[in-house]
Amino acid sequence: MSGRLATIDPAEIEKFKQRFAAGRAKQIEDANTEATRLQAAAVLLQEQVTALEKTATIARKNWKDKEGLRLRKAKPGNPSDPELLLKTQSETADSKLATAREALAQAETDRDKALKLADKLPREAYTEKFKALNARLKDTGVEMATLDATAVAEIKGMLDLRNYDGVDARLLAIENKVLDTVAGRDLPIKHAALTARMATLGTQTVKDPQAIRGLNTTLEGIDPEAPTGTNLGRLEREIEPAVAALEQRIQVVLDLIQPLDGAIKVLERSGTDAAPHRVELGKCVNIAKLKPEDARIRLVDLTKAVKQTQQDRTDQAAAELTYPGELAALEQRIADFPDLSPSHKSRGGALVNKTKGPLKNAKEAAAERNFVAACNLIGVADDEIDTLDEAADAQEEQKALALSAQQALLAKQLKDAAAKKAKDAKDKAEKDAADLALAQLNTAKAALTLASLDLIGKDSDFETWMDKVRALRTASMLTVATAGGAYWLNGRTTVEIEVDVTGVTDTSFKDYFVVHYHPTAVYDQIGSQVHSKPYTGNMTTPKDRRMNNTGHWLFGTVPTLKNIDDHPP
Amino acid sequence: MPINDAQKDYMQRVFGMGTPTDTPSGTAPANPAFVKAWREAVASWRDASDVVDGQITALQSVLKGSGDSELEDIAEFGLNAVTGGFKVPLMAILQELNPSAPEPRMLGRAKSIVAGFRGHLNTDERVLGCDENPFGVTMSVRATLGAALGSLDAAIQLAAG
Repeated sequence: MSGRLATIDPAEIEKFKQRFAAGRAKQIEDANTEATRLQAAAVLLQEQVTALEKTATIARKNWKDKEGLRLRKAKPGNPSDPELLLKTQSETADSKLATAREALAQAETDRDKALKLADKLPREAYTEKFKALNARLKDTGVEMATLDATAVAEIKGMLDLRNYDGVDARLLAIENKVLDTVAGRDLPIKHAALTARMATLGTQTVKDPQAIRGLNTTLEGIDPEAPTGTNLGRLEREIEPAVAALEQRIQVVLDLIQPLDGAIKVLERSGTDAAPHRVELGKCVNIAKLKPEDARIRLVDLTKAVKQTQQDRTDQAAAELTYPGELAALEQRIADFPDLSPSHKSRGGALVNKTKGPLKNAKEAAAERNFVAACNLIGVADDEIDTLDEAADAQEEQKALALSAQQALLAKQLKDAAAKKAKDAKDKAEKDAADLALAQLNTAKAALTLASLDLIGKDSDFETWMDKVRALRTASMLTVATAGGAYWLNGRTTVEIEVDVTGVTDTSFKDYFVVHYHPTAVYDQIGSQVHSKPYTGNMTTPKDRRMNNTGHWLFGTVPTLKNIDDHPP
Repeated sequence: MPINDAQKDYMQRVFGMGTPTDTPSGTAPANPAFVKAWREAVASWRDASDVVDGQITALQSVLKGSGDSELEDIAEFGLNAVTGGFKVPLMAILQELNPSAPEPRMLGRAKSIVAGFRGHLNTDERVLGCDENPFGVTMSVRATLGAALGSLDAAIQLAAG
């Protein structure tokens, strides 16, 4: 398992796997249910077809019995004419039969599709298994079909019947024969490889001696000189997965130890007290030599604890950066205390000095809390601090009131002048910015880019928009084409054609407009026989009437004005 | 006022097409509100699909490199099923349906596929598994595709209205 996954809770990974397994199982179940439903529908329809065929046969026979009918015939063409009646019945029956046959064909197609899907998923899985088994037989001169032709044939039949338990049983039988066939070649290799892996596990700093002993004993119990399918099966089905699981368990712990060691070293170099972490890591390493799983649980907790220390260290560094500013603010606050009592005044200096320590060592920049703590240290109660602060504020207020009226007036004049200057500067800046924005907008509009088209209000400045469409089209940056239909609008005085505008390289760029023809209209101040509009709209919607001129560029795409003139009365 | 023969002839001669009563059989006349909503919804769907494809590729990469054979199998065979076999039919209908002249049959099919897809997103365990995956890959299959499918559904409602 990679290092990235090592820190993820195995329970979460298992939950993820189970969700996929559940989803797949439900998909197969749904496909089977659908196939069953469609199968039943097809049977029902088949019964209907049979019944209708019978009805049709009888109706046809009756109709053909013209001799008997002629005797009972009333006036020719009369709806009650028995011959006509039977002919109609016969045709109705034939028609119903045809409809039912169509429905049956559709139901059968749907059923086949559903069955195909229901079979597809397990078949994919079994195909993979088959491929793997075939690959193992490579270079042995033996093929699956010859190895167990009966089982292979049975598997095919069972897949058709969706008897997956049967398929599994036969696959196991075939796999056993494959193992028998390749045991001579694969068993010594596999045995040696597993022995080597076990040896590596024995040298790791993290190990599970009990598990290693057990696996080694099992492995030694298989004689590499006795290459039987059974032995190879045990190696592959029993021992190899157990070795892999053990490797994984050990790797998870190793992946936790290494980064922790690095992180603790960084803390130690920075002067942070990381001794408890170092001790805990040492304990974990010791435990990991015997019980990796126990070590893993403690290492996960240690990882969290080290991360917390790293965070605390970062917070402390930030507090140290803000410390001088906070200390200055604190000194100023004490200096602002009014001279209410000699004892308070005399304690002011001591207050500052005693506050420095708690403030500097704070984990967080919480000056107020530290200030109160420092005051308490020198015997100033919380409510006394409030009294001193309030007195300081009152003193400031009195100072402000003591300003002369002249000073106040001067201050106001200065303030007004400064405000006017600021307003003028702001107005100028805003005007300059507006001019610049307008110039940029005009430049952007003028640019031959698809974006420049969007900058022009299609609905408000339609003629300019159309000119831009033409320019972009001439530059081969967009195409203009009828969307495919022309329709009379309500009232039947207007024929509308929708025209699509599409980017050439950027085909996601799309817009449209419409061309309207009014065959009975005349060209005057407001009317015209042909014009383009941003959308269907109504009489007040902006329009580009320049299409009234022969030779307008749009007539390469839509019918010409000449044709419009040629309209019928 | 019913259209007369001279007008029919004119439509055929000038525009090479039939009159409104001769619109292609089984199609509805253009509905500008639907055309606009449909085009926007299709664009939204394509964006959403691209986003989710990218997320699935990222998760696939993590699972393939996990060294866990079950996770590798999910990466190889399982993630494609997250869209539950609805994506391809939906893409096909988006290609085929002409919003300017939508066939009711096609609209019905689109509605059915969209409804099925939304149901799948809301109930399939694999979708939930991806969205809440523990591998640190940010995924939003249900929210991203669900919103785009909602837009398509709203557009189809406009056509029906």
